[in-house]
Amino acid sequence: MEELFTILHPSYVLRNALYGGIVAGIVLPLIGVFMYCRRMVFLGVTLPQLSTCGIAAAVFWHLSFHQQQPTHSDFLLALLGSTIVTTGTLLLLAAFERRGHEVGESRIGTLYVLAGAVTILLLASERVPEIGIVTLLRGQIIAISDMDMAILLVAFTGIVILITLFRRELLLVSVDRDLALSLGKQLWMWDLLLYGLVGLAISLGVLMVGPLLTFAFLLLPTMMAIQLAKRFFLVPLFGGILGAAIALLGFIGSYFLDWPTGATDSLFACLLLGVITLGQWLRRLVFRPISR
Amino acid sequence: MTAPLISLDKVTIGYPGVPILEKVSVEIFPGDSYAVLGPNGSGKTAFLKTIAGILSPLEGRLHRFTSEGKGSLRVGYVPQRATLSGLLPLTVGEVIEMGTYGNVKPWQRLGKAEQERIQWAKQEVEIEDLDQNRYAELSGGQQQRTLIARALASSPAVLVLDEPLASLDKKTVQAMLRLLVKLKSDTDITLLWADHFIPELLQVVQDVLEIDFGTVQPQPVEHFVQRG
Repeated sequence: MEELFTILHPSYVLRNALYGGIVAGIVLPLIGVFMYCRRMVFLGVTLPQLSTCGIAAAVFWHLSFHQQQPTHSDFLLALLGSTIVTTGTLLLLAAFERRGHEVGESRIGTLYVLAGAVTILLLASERVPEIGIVTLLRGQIIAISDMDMAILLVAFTGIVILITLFRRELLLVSVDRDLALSLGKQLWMWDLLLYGLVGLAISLGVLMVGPLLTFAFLLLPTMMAIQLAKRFFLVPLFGGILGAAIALLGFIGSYFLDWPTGATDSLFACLLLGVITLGQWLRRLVFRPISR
Repeated sequence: MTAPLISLDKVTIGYPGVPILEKVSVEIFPGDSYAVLGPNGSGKTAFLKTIAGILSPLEGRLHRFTSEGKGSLRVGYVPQRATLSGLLPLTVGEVIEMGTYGNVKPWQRLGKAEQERIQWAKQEVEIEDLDQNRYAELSGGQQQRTLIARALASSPAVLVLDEPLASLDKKTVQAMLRLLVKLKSDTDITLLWADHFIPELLQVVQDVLEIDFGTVQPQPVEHFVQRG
């Protein structure tokens, strides 16, 4: 019990890891809801990989010109590289789709392979010392300063405000594009906003908690919330609460079991999804209408 | 003479690079009801989507006018019901509310006028008691009524229906026809209804736009009555 209080105390040395995980757990499901509505789940795996590639490219570029390891201040450089690659790719895909070409799963899969290969090749370069970059790509939350943490919080708060303000339009362009057009909405404008938010949120997520947990937070709390919520507008709220709970309980679990935090959180989220799905199935079984 | 609400002048209709209907010249007048008839794949949906502003004309000119002479013409579009994903827990109330999203600024709350409009739309299609039900769990006829209520909630001058009777049973088809006759008598909304030819359709419409051989031709209703 005493150890639990130690973890939750504001002076705890790894507090940024805990706070960062909880913030990512709240914000990423809000983005995940719209990706789920637009059937962009497969893209949700690819984007964190692209984001990782962007971080690797930014660090590679930095080391090529400055001959020194990235420091804490280069956190912003990694964020910039990650955001440019992620958002840029999303916008390219959107432009491609707008010109009447279908962005099929095969193309997205190819992007995933490409981003993974480029990341590994950049890491294999003699210029990149292994330890530093691996920490960064796992989600370097432990290493970041309070200042960098504050920057992340401001960016995530901005994302939440924009999603809250424009939730109706984002929902509309995600679930019924024909209706949006018939109501006179400018699809390109709302797509641009959504893709920008997705790109930024995933970039921040990968930097904070790594690509695996970023994808887990995008998808799993949304899938749970959809099963639990009676109204669609409760889904983002439930998703955020579930994401925060997963981050907190996963962190505590990883501390006591001495397991890596990201993998523990992801495993815990999968187990919780399994329990909720089973519970819903049993509920339907017990309370199903009796056929006459 | 009454001025048209929508005027198409030698318009080519279709998807980018895929023209479906060519040189379409039609006028839609306020308060009238039109059946858009044609075989499968003839371009009925593309025609309706162009009227609703979902597709842009590939060539030619399309004008929309409001009866007040200012603002933009509101067209309510009722798609075939398969367009909304059954995976999402959207309630009937939430689906209908979407129809009002074009009437308020993105950051504004829905006002009293929008709430009253939503309530009226539910009453008009007789689904007030389904508000909290999940859209995906409704019957085909109830889903179609919900989509009509959503279109009505947008305060449209023109209501466009894309095969609203598709895959409904006979009893539900009759109920839907009664509903549309009532809607026509209660409001001055202009109605465009695309479907295959069914005799009951002629109870609701005054004019027919026949789609055949890659274009749209206005035809008198009597022409179809005689054809049987």
